[in-house]
Amino acid sequence: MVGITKRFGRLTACDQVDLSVEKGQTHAIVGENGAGKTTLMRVLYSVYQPDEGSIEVDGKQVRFRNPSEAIAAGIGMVSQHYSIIPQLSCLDNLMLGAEAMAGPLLDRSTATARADSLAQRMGFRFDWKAPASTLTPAACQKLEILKLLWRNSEILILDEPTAMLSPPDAAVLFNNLQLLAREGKTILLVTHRLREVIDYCDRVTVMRGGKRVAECDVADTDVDRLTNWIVGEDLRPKSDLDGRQAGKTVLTMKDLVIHGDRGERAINGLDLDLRAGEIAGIAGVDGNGQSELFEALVGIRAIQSGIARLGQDDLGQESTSRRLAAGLRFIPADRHRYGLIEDWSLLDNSVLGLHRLPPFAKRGLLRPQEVGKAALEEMEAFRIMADSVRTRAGDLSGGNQQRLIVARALHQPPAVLIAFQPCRGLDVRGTLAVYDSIRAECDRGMAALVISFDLDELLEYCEPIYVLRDGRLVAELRGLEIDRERIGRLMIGLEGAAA
Amino acid sequence: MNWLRFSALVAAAAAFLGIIVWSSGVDPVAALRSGFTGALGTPYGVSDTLQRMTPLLLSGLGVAVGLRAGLFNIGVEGQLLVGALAAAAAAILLKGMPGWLHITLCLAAGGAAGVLWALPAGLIKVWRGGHEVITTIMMNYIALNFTKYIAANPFKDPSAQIATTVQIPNSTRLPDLGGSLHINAGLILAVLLAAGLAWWMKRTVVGYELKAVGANVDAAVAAGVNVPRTIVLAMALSGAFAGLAGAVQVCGYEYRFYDGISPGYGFDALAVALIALASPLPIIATAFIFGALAQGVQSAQVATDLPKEIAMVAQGIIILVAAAVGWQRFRRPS
Amino acid sequence: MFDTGAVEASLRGATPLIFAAMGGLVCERSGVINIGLEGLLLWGAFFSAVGSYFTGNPYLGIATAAVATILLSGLHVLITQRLKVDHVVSGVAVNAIAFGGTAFLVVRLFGQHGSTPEVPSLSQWTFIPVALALPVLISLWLRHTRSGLHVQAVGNDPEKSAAMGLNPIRIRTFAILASGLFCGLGGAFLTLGDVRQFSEAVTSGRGFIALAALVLGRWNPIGAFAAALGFGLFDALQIRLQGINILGTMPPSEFWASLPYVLTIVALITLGKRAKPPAALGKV
Repeated sequence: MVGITKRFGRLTACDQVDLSVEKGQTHAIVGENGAGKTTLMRVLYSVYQPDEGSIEVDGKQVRFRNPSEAIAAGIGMVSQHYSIIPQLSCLDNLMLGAEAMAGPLLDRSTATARADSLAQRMGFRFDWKAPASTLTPAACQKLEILKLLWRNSEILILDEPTAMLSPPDAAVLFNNLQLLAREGKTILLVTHRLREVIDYCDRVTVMRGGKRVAECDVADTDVDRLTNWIVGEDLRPKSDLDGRQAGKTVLTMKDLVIHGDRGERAINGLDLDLRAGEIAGIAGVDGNGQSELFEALVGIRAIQSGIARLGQDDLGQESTSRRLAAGLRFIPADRHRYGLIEDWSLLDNSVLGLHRLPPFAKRGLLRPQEVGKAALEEMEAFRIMADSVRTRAGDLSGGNQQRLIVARALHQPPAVLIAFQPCRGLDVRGTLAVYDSIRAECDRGMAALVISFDLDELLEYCEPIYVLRDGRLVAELRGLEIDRERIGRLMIGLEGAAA
Repeated sequence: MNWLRFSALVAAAAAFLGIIVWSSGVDPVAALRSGFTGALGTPYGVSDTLQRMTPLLLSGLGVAVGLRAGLFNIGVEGQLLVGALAAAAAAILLKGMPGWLHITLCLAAGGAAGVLWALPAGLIKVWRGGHEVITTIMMNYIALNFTKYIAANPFKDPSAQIATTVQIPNSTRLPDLGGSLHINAGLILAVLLAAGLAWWMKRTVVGYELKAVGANVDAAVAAGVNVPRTIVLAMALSGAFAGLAGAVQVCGYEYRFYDGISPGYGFDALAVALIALASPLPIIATAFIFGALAQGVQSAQVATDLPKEIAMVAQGIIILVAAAVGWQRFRRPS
Repeated sequence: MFDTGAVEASLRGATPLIFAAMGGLVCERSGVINIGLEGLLLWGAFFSAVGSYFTGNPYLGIATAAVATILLSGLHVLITQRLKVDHVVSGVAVNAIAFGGTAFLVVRLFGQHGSTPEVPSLSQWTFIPVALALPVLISLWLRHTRSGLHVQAVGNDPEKSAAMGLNPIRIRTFAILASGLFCGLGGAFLTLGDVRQFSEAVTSGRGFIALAALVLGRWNPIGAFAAALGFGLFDALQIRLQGINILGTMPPSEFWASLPYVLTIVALITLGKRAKPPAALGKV
């Protein structure tokens, strides 16, 4: 890829980026969120067309108009959120877009045979007739890799492939990738986990602000140097968690049982006491009850049994709006879906969820002056970049949207903040700013509960750290007990029996 | 909105209509002139236009309330019919009260009947997940048959050949406010309600929540909005406007209920509301335009042999232009 | 009450519903709501009369109807796929164009209001076997062909489908045009196979009933077919049901005419959340 430039409106996501990868190599692309890694890969996969620059494969200049042409040329991509359609069977997902045919009809028996042989080569097993909705995240990842093999892809692009995987599943994934690299496949790995780069990759490209800032052999570098390239300045020293005095318990959960969408016990007997002043983190692999727990705390999923109590209030009896009135605040993981109304202005979004509370409402009427004041304060406090409060929320950048949601949650000092992946889409600096604000509120007596799949973020900012597995908290770690390896083992059940 | 594209589309639509008119052997300029004069050029014409606009305005507001909450109330036609019938029934059956109270009760009966007819769609949506488009379409047919039966049997004017009620008493008729335009009190009520609805959606907590549900239902839930209640409320409010449209038609203009009282106001109201992007105040304008269009085509038909069906073609093209230009940003919850 | 006449009348009543419901099914399985079925059916009914009347050949009438409805459904493609406008808004526009267009063209081409003269027609048996076979064929097509799989994929998740190299807009375009074609056949049946002339009231809401059949059949071709047959049966029995004494009263004809709609609502209530529409239905 030579001189690739891609602009979105005024934003230049990729600026004159060069990238060359040798056959059979595993090449990592690292950088902060918003550095342009994913955009660059999508240009290669032809989801986007570059504004400038060209692409060469095997020395020949190519120009694909869409992903199907890229696929035909042997380029395959696994995106961060997978491209598996849950309503279709595993087999149909595997061959979608490259079906095995017998005349005009689909040939599912031949397809199954080939699917089995591919799966065997990688040491996987699949029930091909089962709907893909039954797959775990790790199984989805495996199916995605098989999809690339099915298409005879020679160049494999993987965008944050381990974001949803536990450390051992990630290790299995990389063993598989190394197997493929030995067979001569070329692998492009987009990641922010530098350890993966050091352990498994041959070469690394570092991007920052849409530009390539470095490229070198992995053998010639280390984590510190990569970090410097990525951030462009020294990171602040690790935050100081000592000396924090926890106050009295504000949120109590006891024997909590919450059902998932299929009626299973997604949260199965969870106990937790959250104290004022704490930033508690819940670590765990996706799919162990995190979203169900969050939704039940918000009040959009029923608590089947057990108790969740905020102060004296039994949350099971309270609607979401009563919870908000009682001082509970939420930061949802999916900001487009739960956090914002994208067609509304920043102004109208600035009190969403607070709109029934004083001073924004009085006797059923909204008070525009108060709402306007809140919007300006939120913009200022979190440096939300927007032309005015009239700017449509959907036109803000992802980082600014997230800042708006956090600003709103903290606008009136909450009693308890429940945050689910609060820094999704934020870069290192944005993450720091969010936790600085959370910490400032906690110093004034707020309690925060952070549910995240990003272990590094939890390790950096939270104490205590709980580990959620199979709907239960299998450990509570404080101070010196907090250990990355141990938490990893707890997350996947190598340690700590689910009592 | 892209004004250049908008102008180009409008010009193209106008040219297309002109060609259609011309191809039917009518001079488009003469047709336009007589239509314009007929609808807006004389006090008599304006008066007729305003009369035609009244049911479109009220039922357009009904469609709009639903749309803002993300609901497609295709059942405005049926709600209007039962509203009209209920108003006529209240006018004929209730006796022995002051006129102002009687009229109020007639209008209230119309609105309540509209609510009753709209509620199943709202309840089925929140309770069973059934799409309101299907329910309201079904309710339309039931309303059509039901009102026809009532007008043809228990309420039939024995002296009439068709399915109609007797005339309502003078005391239940909405007054003509006089002047050369003969503005009916029903129109004033409709305009006031449009202003009231605009204010309500902008300034009240419930209005804010209704718009939130329409714009992003998941975000509304997370913000503590009681979505089922809001959806049922929006549907009820929508039905109330539609039922009131029927009541005003009976008490203000027709003075009786008959089978076929609505030539499809409820369906035209979809267009009226869509073109105004479901905002109450612009609906006053679009209802006026549609009223003028219907009145103008009728005048042009008399003057120039223009086929009356051209009005339907014109409406179709207007909806098309509105759909193409205005509704790209509009999203409904699934 | 049940004799060959009743069976024949039921099939006759069900045929246009089956065609329109299958049109709606293909369209909605690709994720596009189509409330323009009514307009498309009317459009097809009118143009089959035009083709048949002016060529004297009813088969050319069918062809004319097919071309005309495919073109009109192209409007739905344009508005929903190119301009990315809400599907129901577009359906309202399609219906408005069809109602206005046919009403106007009847006057222009035939010089009379509301209906055409009698046109050269066909036996209803030209259409009924096609209508009976169509649901089975569509069912097989959805399951066992590449294009059927692609329609399902796009109907559930267009973005992911695009990432797999599918072209959602092209697939949806194809599905929308197919819905036009089927409605054209249904409309042609109404004019050429049933009443032998076109009138404005020839569809009288059958497109909307087809939509109900589609929902009641839970977006499954065989289910929608069964629902359409049920509506057809009811339609045929209606005349015979009048005059039946229930609990000492004779329900009026309006009661029987309303019953299918009431039953649809009852079915919506009882079916409840088990109805599984395509996951991306209505997403522009």
